Amino acid sequence: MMKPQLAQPAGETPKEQLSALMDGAVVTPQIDAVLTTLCARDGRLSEDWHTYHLIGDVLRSAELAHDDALTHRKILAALQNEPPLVAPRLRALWQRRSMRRQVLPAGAALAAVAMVGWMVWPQLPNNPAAAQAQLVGSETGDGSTLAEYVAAHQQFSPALTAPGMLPLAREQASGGVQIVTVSAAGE
Amino acid sequence: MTVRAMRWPHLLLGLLWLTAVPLLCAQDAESSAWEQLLQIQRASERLNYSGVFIYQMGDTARSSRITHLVDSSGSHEKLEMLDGKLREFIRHNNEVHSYRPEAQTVTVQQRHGGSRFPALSAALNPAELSSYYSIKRLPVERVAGIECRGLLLTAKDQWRHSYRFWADKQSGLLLKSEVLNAQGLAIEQIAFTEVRVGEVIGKQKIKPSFPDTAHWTQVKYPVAETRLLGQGWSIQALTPGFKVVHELRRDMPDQPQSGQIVLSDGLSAVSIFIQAYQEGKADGARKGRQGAINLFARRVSDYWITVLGEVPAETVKALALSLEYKAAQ
Repeated sequence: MMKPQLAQPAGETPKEQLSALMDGAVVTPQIDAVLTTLCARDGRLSEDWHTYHLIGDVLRSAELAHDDALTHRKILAALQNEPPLVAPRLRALWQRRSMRRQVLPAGAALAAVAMVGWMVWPQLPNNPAAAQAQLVGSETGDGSTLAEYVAAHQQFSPALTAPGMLPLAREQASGGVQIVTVSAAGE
Repeated sequence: MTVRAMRWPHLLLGLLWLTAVPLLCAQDAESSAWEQLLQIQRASERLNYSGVFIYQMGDTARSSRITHLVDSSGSHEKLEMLDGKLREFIRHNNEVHSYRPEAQTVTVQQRHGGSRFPALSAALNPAELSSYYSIKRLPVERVAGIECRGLLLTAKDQWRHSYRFWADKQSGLLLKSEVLNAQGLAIEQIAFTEVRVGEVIGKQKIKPSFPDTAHWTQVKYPVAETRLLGQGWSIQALTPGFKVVHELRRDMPDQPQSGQIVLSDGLSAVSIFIQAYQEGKADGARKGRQGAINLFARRVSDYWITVLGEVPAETVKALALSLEYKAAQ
């Protein structure tokens, strides 16, 4: 049987090897073989295997840690007894996780900003002349609101923007349009 | 003989395959993409469906519930606005009843074109559209939990917007559509957030939700085909691809006897409204924009014209500036 290869830095003791395996550092596809070999050689490793998974689960879930004080203590003890090679790795994993937690809200905030940017963008006048133009509200200059024009337009427009009468939704959304007066130079 | 030498013929064959196949397939791929666009259009008129969609335009987002039912008398649709003012629209074929509960008013209108897909199918002509839009398939994407085929229609010139459509792989129903500006940014979109396609829908689902609407005030804005172009009005330079599809005489709120000229390239449309200029009103040209809709209004002779449509600002401006009026001698 081919000897399973462990990625560098590979642990020397079975416990280190098991930990490396759980950290995803074992590159061989024969992971089952590693497990079988390790656990057969040392029965206590099977227990370690479960403890390590519990540690992982608790690190990932705050509820688990709060629900069971005993488990919590056991885990703390297990963490202290971790082989030196494994502990930094788990810590690194933990740090990666907490980093992800900090990064995610930032990412969400960015997405929100992008969304707002995207939604506001069409409102920005696209030429400097218009930027200085005066806002005159939602009237087009003859007393009718834009919504009425949009409704009248949609009644005959063959635009394929939606199934059925979805374009009707558009006239409902158009109350807030900003009409700007164009300077003579802008024409 | 080395192994490397043996690989060369394979490499050349591979290169030939890589260049020839796309060339041969391009034509087929494009025509099947146009066929898919026609399927989208057919699906919406023959399917039962219900769901909630979000309409996003400019800085406004609104959600609505739609129920669509097809029976022997044609197609029925109920649209309920879920945000903002309470509004309901009930359509049976071309007739739309708009319910405004706070005013106890129902407005009755005839729809032509946009809301009614057979009219659209006459306009949606791939042979003509392909002069102004290029079409290509997009990767499969999920919308409202449903796998969708995507289509990108890119405007070939600056006179129109580009579009992206996603339709249900199974039924062909359009589940998401985006209007894109020249930079390829979505400036308007409609997307289902949940939808059920092909289920049995009871008739009570397409009735107005308000009790006792029989005594509500009924308002109608009559519309009739007429002739405006050649009767004093002319468009000096029609923007490429746009054709006159309607010339109408209609009552608008506050403005009876308005004129409306509708132009379309088969996908995008522009309306030119012609109304009497009211003395004392400011007569400087105005422009406006929200989402995909642009507007340009100006005074022409004793008239006030408003050009509006889901096209770029340059298109409404060019049309507004090229509209002329000469009073009959």
